[in-house]
Amino acid sequence: MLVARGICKRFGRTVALDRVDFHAAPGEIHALIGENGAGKSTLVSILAGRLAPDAGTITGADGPLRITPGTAHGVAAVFQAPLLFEQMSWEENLALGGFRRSTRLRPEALAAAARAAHDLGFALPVPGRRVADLAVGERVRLAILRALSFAPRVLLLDEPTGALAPAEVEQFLDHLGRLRRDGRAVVLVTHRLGEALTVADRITVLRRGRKVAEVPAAATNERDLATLMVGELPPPLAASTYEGAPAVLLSLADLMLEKDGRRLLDGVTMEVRRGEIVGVAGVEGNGQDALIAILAGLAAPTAGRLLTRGALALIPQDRDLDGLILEMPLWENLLLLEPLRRRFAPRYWLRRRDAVEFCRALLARYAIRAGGPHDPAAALSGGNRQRLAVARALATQPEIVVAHDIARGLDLAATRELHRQLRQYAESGRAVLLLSSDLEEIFQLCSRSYLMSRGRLRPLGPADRQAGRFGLMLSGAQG
Amino acid sequence: MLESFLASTIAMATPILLAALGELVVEQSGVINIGIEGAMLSGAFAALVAVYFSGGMICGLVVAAAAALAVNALLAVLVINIAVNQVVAGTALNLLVAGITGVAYREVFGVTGRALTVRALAPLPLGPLTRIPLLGPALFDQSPLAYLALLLTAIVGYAIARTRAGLRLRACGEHPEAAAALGINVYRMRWTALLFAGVLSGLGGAYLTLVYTNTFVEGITGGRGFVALALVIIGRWRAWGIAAAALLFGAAMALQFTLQATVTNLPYQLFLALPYLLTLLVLALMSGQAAAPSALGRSYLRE
Ligand SMILES: Nc1ncnc2c1ncn2[C@@H]1O[C@H](COP(=O)(O)OP(=O)(O)OP(=O)(O)O)[C@@H](O)[C@H]1O
Ligand SMILES: [Mg+2]
Repeated sequence: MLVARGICKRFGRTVALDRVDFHAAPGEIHALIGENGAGKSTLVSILAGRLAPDAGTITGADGPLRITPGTAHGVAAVFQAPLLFEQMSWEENLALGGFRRSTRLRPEALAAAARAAHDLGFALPVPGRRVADLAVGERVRLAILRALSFAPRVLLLDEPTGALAPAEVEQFLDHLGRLRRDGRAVVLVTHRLGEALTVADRITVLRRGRKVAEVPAAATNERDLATLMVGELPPPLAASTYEGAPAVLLSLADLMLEKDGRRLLDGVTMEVRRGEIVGVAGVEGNGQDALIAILAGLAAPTAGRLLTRGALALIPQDRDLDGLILEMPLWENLLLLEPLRRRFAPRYWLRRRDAVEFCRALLARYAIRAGGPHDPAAALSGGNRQRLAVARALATQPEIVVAHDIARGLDLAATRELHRQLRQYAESGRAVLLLSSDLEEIFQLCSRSYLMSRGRLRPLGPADRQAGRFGLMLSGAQG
Repeated sequence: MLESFLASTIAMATPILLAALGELVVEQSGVINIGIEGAMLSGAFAALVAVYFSGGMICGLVVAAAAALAVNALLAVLVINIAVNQVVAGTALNLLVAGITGVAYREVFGVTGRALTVRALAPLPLGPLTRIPLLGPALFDQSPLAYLALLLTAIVGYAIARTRAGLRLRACGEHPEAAAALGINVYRMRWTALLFAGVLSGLGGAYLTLVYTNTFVEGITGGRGFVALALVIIGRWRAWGIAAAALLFGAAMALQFTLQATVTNLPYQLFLALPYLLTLLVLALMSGQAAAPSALGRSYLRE
């Protein structure tokens, strides 16, 4: 039991939370939703004792709490950017959890972890892997396992499902149902309204730091929630209208990639032309990372040919680790990309004022909620970090944009807005390659698409669009 | 000849190994202790004073450990609780201790010009083992502190890699915020590490006055604290790696003495510099692959 009353939190001029009341009750799943930058993660951090509120009280089952970091109050959290020990193995990360204690490391904790993972339908990574080498989904699964190991009375989950495969999400939500029956309190932050409606008992909506609604899930619907969250949604996309010459900008011919005796890519062939958005659907871990590594020039294909015409920009899946330097101000983060660096530092000197102004314009154009260009990237909310990564990539005006899992962490309006921008970008005579595990997104946005499974690609036709068949195919296609 | 070279290698390696093992533990907790030179110096001085006035070796060692413990406690307050920059605080502490020991030496023993000497810490021969040809006298007729250093290498190495406490320690050096979120008291962990290191650098310092010289001169540590810092890097943050590096440095020291005595047509400063040059060289060759704790040197203050 955790009751927060009148919580306020400011960061400089930003009011992140303004007199917010919130509670986590035993036997209840409480969904916390809201647009990007609404204050969800801030609230989670405060409930978890990671941040101190400026005002307000938090009461536990036996009176007021002065929550400090840690799990002593029976609270465990999975934060939006999981707090993991990058240089340690995943086993060591788990051993730091709440599994049965023993002085020597290995055995018991691992067995318990394996059991817990089995209950959740999670696969464990290869033994001994460093966390830094794990994929985004693996990291989130690790953080979830570790949080559950404390058998917390209150479990806080900040957008845990965004990085999970569809089949995993289902099992995970089932597990939350079991926790509820056990009388535990669960707080779930999510951008997927359907998820909140099916699994939660109660839904709280934040908007610009204020609580605008708290309703029983049974008494509301997706439309009302969306309106509460963001006001009017931008209209869905219309069909594409590019009519220029369809020259090929990116062509992959029979690409192979083998590593440690495993075939990661197996004869990948595809062309991307001007004006097109081409989709690659599939569950994470089926070769997406290998494809990205080759496109980024970080890996050389074992066989096959890769041709690009014009510059290629990549929007990586994990912005915090691969894309942004959190301690650096936003405008300096822009200069991490070579084309922008060339533009704002053509010779020896940095054109600081120009770069700052450019950053300011970009923040406005992409509706990135930030104090200003001099804020560190760490001050951005998860979704706003994502927007910045996209804005930066498009600002280099590449001929080809490769976007990996681009809508993760974006709210409804931002997702639609981003889709519109990508469509516009393609229609201006450039090309977009979109990798995603979200089929709806692929079908809405792409002119052509493929399914990636065990390192192979196969084209998707209109017949494949029946969601039922797809769900099956996707979940069965796990690598 | 070879026998005395081996014995001297170990004798030279012991104090820096003791200090470096302490530093290893401190660095695994995320703190970089530049003040290690000062802590050793305080131990060296305190050992001399205590043995001079009490005559007891145990007393000397205990007082040395206590003095360095106090120095590290001061550092802990600065860098852990007030989050003063660790390099600045450590450097300041080095200067402070160098000043205090210099003044105090003259205060206590007067400026007689006569070198003040105390009894030496006797070696502890390990019975029949000393009769092994060549190795016996070199390895098994050493100061008790040398055996302690070896034993601690094994214990510290095992504890850091294989025990729960070691894992929690590393968690603090890797990502203090995440460690705190898992219920680890980062402050207490770092304090404990610094106090432990205080004891070890105190003993390392005591070794200098009680085994090498039987006396105290200003700046007797001669940069050994900084060598210990370098050893942690050369040993790639592993106890046995550090022991190997310490032996290498000890060997260079021993060789330096031999060369000084035998080769007379070269300036002796050249030989004096040998171990340090060697350290520098190995450091330059090794530092390519970093294995340092990610949060090394970063202050942690909870909100
Ligand atoms: N450390 C910080 N420094 C400055 N501003 C911050 C900091 N953390 C958060 N903010 C600001 O507080 C507001 C709320 O951020 P928060 O991360 O809680 O949003 P959120 O609801 O989790 O959004 P998202 O859906 O994008 O994750 C944002 O405007 C953000 O920029
Ligand atoms: Mg968030």
